[in-house]
This record gives sequence, structure tokens and C-alpha cells, in this order.
Amino acid sequence: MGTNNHDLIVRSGISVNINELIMRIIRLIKYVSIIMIFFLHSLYSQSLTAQENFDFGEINNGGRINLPVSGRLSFEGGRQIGNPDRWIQLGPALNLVIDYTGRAGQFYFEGIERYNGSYRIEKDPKETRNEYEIEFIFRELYWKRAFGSVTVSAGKMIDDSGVMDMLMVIDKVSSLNRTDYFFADPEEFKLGQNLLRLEYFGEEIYGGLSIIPYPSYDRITDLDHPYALIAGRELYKSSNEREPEGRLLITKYFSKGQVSVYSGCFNNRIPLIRGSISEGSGILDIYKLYKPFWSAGCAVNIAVEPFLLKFETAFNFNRPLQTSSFKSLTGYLREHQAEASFGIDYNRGKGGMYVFEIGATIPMEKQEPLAVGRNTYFGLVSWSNSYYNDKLRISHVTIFPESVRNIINRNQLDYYVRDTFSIALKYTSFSIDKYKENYGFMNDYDRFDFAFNFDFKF
Amino acid sequence: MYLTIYIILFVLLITGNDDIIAQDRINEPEKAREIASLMIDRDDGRKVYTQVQLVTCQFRIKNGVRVRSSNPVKKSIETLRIDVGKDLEDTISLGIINDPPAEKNMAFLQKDYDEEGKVSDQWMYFPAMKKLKRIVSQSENSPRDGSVFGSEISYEDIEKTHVSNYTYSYEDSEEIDKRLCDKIAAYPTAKYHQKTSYGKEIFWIDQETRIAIKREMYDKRDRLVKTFYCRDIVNIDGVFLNKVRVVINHDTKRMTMEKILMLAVNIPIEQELVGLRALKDTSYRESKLRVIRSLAK
Repeated sequence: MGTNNHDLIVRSGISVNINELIMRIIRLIKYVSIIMIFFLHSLYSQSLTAQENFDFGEINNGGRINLPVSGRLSFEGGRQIGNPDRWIQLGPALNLVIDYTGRAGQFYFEGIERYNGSYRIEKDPKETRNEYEIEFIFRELYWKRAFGSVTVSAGKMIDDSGVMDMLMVIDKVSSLNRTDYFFADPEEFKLGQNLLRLEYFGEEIYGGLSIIPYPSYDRITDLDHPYALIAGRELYKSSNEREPEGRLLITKYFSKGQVSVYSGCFNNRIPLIRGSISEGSGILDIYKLYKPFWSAGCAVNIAVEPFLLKFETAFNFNRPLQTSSFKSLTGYLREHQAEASFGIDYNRGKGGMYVFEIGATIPMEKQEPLAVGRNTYFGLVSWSNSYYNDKLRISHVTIFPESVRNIINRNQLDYYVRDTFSIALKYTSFSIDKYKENYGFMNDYDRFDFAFNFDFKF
Repeated sequence: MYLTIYIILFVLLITGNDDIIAQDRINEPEKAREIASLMIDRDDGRKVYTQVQLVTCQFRIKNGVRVRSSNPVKKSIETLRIDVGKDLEDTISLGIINDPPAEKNMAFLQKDYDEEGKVSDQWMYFPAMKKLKRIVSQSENSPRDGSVFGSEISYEDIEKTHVSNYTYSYEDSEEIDKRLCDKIAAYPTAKYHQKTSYGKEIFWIDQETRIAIKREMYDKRDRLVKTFYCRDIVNIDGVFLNKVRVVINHDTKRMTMEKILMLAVNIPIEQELVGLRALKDTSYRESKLRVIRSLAK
């Protein structure tokens, strides 16, 4: 009993002390809160009433000569950090644009001159160095002029048709720069096509007729280039490789969307491979083949706020396809082929832009196995955003070639130190079953790229 | 003593509640609404061409002045704006970036509708990829918080607004920049509340030109987020326009100056020139702009 009373007294004593402590803490919080609130409020009030003036300092607009010349001077580096661990790109590059518009119309030129010292550093064969150490990427050279509702253009031009961002199906006119696989900047991926184009611009309708008398094809690498299509072999042009092409595209615009239909005749852009043993030497020579086929299809986009839904489909009639006898370097076959892709854009304003796209290519007949498999599937998710008044731009793309198990990740960061000087960092990684999948050879190609860029305009 | 402090605390705390402000502080709503209506519907030119420089930088406060404290981000833009529709109630705007070089010829087209609830149509042209892309930037019920050309101005700040979206209160008349202004507060209606980032806006509207010389924008917790200033007002053939607009973002401690270098008002601009063709057909656009540029001062 006595013990119990003592406990109560002790408990009571402790209880009193805790209560006092709590009360003191509450009082302290009250005083601090009151002081903080008054302090913050006075600070806040001050910002409401004062500081009406601003000084942007001297804004240097630069002395412009006003020449139609602009471009980018860069120092670029790219290191493959997989197997082999080696430099892929190291050296300066100049991207030059001449864009003049006068009474006679617009004259436009764009090209990239690049020195790549990595082949020398990595002691690649002399043939590879001679071929690729200095390269000139001729992107565009054309003349264009508007006559009322019609615009006529001629020259080497990049064409963009369709509604997809990356998994393009109807965009068959331009050739692509495949020398850098997934590592090329999107701005450099497309190359101009030799075109004569007539365009009609109606109130909400567009019609474009493109005639390609002498097509240019995708750029690929050969010899001992790290990304050679067939390692160690030179790829020869075949004699009758350029048949003329043409395409008619009509687009109708609506308030919330657009519909495009097209029909055209194209050659394959990436070469078919054919081997031939030369009679004299008995050496197997490898030739690039380009064969024409007809194609027709449509593209649709529609705004369903807050999304943009995109759809493209094409049907290729008797398209020449490389068979898996590619290994024995003999042939190709012709099959009807269907292509389709579907995508969603989701623009979250401050939260950045998201793009989701999936696509499939399906040959319609079941003949021999094809070099790239019968049905091919692609998916991708991308996100990009800019911060600090466009000074920092971040983008991410995940590509799923063939299956969601295969993942290519690409992350890029561009920081503009000044309006004309920027630093770019890019990391690309691959997770693909190297023995099983068509793109498995890329599994060792993880790569880190950097660039220092100086933009200029006279 | 405690009672006084509690009352002060209570008053300070409730200032965060917009609804209570809206209920308690409405003064002369009809007068305020009429002033707002005159501001929104004022004649700012039916066809306008400008060459604009946008300068954005961080700031610090020095001797009571907001002073630039970082390298400025500069953009030089040409814009065309025309009113279209049966009663010229809709607006189409075209913006083309001339500088910095990396963004040259990037172009933006926007059609704003007067009809309530109808979302604007937007397209962008990316010259590096030669791509014309439709942009869907909002749902009907969310604010358009994206930035205009990377500046501190958001699309929401400059989009066409409707008098009926707000409840107004007449606050006072004040002199700003030697101009006598009506000061009004605007509170989004319950219906519009979701569609705006702001919980309250205060306008100082010049009694002569009906331009909002100063505009404060508060978030939904009643914190001051942005202040707009309009300066250098000119009268061109009876149309009043401000050649300088400054926005201070109190959150990011950044400010943007939009300065009109060349201006032409109510000149002949074909509607086709503010269409999709103008975005990607440089030869067409330049052939038309050459004439318009010669009219600008």
C-alpha cells in the first residue's frame, strides 16, 4: 500500500514536471511564432510596397553585319564505355548554315564538317582513317520560291511528313544518317533528298508533289569503322541503283487535328546486300542494292486535351526485304508489308513534355526468314523539359526495340552558359540480349558523349 | 495582451484564405467590373507587327532597385497578331525567333478563341528537325503554366481573358508613373478558379489609355508571385500600346523585360501570313514580311 502511494507521488511529481515542460515549450513556440510571423509579414509587406524599379544593365546586342550566315562551332567527344572501351569521336566540328531570302526566293545551305581524331588515337586501319577521319555531312542545298498559293523548290532538301516524333511510318522521302546509330542528335539524323517539289497551300489544306529524279540513300559505314554494317568489308555501289521516285501528299487541317494521305514510289533507303565473286580474283565483293516499291498510307493526329493522339499507317507493295540468307550474302525477296505506329504527346507545361510511341512492321506473307526477323516492334518513352529560362535543357528517351526486355536509354543535358555558348552531356546505355536479339550487337555500345558548342550568327 | 496577439495572429492567418478575402473586400463591384471591361476590350490594334527583344535574368535588390545579377538570356522575336472572326473576336499570333542563333527560325503559332471554354490551337516549327508540330498544352480545366519563349511570362499571363471569369472590387485611385490609375482587385470565380494559377490579381489601370500600368498576381495562398509593369506608352493613330513590359517573378527571383524595338499598327496583314504556311515556308514568309518591316517604326 505504502509502496503504491510512493509510486503515485513519484508519478504525480514526474507528471507535474512534464506538464510544466510542455507548457514552457508551447509558450516558447508561441513567442517564436509571433516573432517569426511579424518578421515575415513585415518582410513580405515590404516586398509588396517597395522595389518598384528595376535595372537590366547594359544589354549588349552585338554589332551585327547582317550576313545570312549562322552556325555552330563545336568540340565533340564520344567514348564507348562498353566493349571495347574506346574513343568513338574526338575533335572539332563546324555546322554552317547560309540562309538568304531575296526577290528571287530563298537559297539555303546547311552542312557539317567534322574531324574525328578517335580513329588515329585508337590506331584503326589506315583505310578507315582515310574514309572517316574527316567527314562532310551535306544536309541541304536548295532554292525555294513562293508564287501565290504555290511554292516551288528544288535541290537537296529535308522533308518531314507525318505526325510521329520518332517512330515515323509515312516519312519516307528523306534519307537518314545511320553512321552513328542511336547516338546521332535528332537534328543530324535526317539528310536532304534530291527533290523537285511543288506545294499548294490552301486555307486548311496542303498538297505536296515531290519528284526525286536521283535519290540519295541512307549513310552507312563499312570497312573497319566501329559501326560498320559488315565489319572489315567495303560496300560497293551497284550499277543500276538509282531509279526515280515520287510522292503525292495531301493534308487537311481541322481545328483539333489533321489527316494526311500519301502515295508514292520509293527505293529502300537502307541498302540490301548482295555478294558476288569476282571472276578474276575469286574474292567475294559485296554490293549495295536499292530497289523500288510502291507505298500508300495515312497519318492522323487529334487533340484530346490534354493529350495529342497520333497515328500513322502505311502499306508497302512488294517491298524488297533482305532475307536471312544475308549471312550467305545472296539475296532479298519481295513481300507486301504493313507498318503502323501510335503515339501520345502529353505536355505538362512546367512539368515538361512526355511522348509515348509504339510501332510495328509486319510482312504480310510467310516466306523465308528475314534478316531482321519477320515482325519488328518498337516502343519508346521520352521526356524533355527546360529550366532557368531555357538555360538548362534535359531530355530522356527509353527505346524498346523488339521487346520491353530490350532497353536503350539515352539521357541528355544541355546547359547554356551564355546565349551562344553551351555544354552538352549525353549518356546512352543498352540492355539487350546480345546473343538472341537483332540489336544484340549493340549491347556493348554504352557510350558517353560531350560537346562544347559555340553558336554564331553574323 | 494574449488576446491582442491571438487576434493579430488570427487576422494574419485568415489572409491566406482567398474566399474570405473575396467575400469580405468587395467594393463597388459594378464600377470595378466596368473598368476591367474597358481594359480587356480596349483597342490594342487589329493588326500588329512587332520586333521584340526579351531579356531575362536573375536579380538582387540593391539600394531599392532590382538589379540584374546573372548573365541575361536574350531572345529576339518578330511577332504578328491579327484579330479574326465574324466580329474580330478571335486572335491569331505568330512569333518567329531570330536570335539566339541556335533557335533561329523557330516559330510559334497560336489561335485564341473568344468563346468561353474553347482551348487555343497551337503549333510550333522546329527548324533543326524541319518539323511542324501541333502542341496541346492544357486541358480545359488547368492553367497554362508553360513559359513564353523561356521568359518569366507564362501563356496564362497573356492569354485572352473574359470579364466574366472574375469578381471585381474597386480599391482606390492611385498615381503610378505620373498616370492616374484605377486600382481594382480581381478574384477568379468558383468556375474559373481551377483554370488559373492565381488566387487574386490587382490591376492599376491608367484612366486615359486603359492599359494596366501595373499588375500584381497572387497565388491561391495569397502570396505575391509576379508583378507586371508597362512602360513607354505610345499613341499610334489613336491606338495606345506599351513598348516595354517588365515582369518580376518574386518566387524565382528572376525578371523579364519585353521591349518592342519596331512596331507597326493596323497595317495590311493577310490572314494567310499568320497561318501554318508561314511557320515552315521561309521563302513565302520573308517575301511578305519584307513589305511589313518597311512600314514599322
